[in-house]
Amino acid sequence: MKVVQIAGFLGSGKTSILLEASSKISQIYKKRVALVVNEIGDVPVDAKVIEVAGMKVKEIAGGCICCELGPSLAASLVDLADYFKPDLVLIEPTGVAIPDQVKVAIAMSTRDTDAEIEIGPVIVLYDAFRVDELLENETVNNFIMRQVLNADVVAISKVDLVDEERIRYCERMIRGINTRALIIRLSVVRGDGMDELIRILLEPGGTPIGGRVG
Amino acid sequence: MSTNWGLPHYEVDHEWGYGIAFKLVAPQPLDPIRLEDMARDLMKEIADECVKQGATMIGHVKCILHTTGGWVKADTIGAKYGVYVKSELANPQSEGTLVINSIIVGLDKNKIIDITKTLGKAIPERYGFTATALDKKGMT
Repeated sequence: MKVVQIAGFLGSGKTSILLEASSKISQIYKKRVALVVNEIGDVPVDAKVIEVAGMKVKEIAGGCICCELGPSLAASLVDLADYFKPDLVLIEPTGVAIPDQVKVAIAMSTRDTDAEIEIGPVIVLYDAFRVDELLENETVNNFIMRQVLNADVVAISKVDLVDEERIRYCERMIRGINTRALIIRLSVVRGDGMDELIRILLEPGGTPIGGRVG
Repeated sequence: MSTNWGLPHYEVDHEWGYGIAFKLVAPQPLDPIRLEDMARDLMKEIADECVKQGATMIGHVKCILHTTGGWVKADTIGAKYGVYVKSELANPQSEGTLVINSIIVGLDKNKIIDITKTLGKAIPERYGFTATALDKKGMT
């Protein structure tokens, strides 16, 4: 079971991309996909949106999976591994989650299952449409910098809504924070970059960390 | 973990976001287009009111109206960016569950709660629904 998180700040398009990628992976590549959604607020909307789209979803609410709800994430992954047995689990953390900490929570899940769990790359969405507003706000900028810093892949989202100059500006900003991440361009509306994203999600590799010993 | 403005990371989750669900019932079924309009107005007015009351940024305001005949979802990252609405509804509907989640930067949590609760009830009522707040157990 491969586990990949698609992180990114609030409103960057995580749920839309997760839905589009997961439905293509299950329909075209015939892979079993499960989604884990963690949302700010006691009454989540995203899980409901995914549920009505017909995907298998586990919702974790009432806190953040990168800190106080890390054990809940681990338990959800164990449950999926043992009973649903997906090929791929896509995690949507809250918009303020720190990807490296989510990774630690994923790793915790291997203690309680015999299933082999492989941690895939950290994918972080970078919202090209409102980049200026996001970076001007010190609080928000701090979260975005940490997310980009932790990324293996930075996907510049909503590229259909901006021009080439703006996309290049985003690429420069990302490179200024993270020199090693792969940068891709994404648009759910036009389909830009979706094949590349799916290739990354399905690519063998990553860090195998299971199953349980003893 | 602390961030550079002093608010522990895990508290952001509790300070920025508020979610609530309402049971909606109307005497007459509403067309899918009217339901989309309602969701759009709701998102725009919550975002506008939060900014008016001092929010430094709209994180994400989103909702889904779930009915036996389909759904309408809407979201915004701020009125100036527009409201995105999508639906799968074949027929007019007179009942449903409306779930709203407001994630707002730089506004007192009590104000986020008040705005979301007030408009979550007022906008559907403008469209002819009776809106009753649900607790988590009452959600479908």
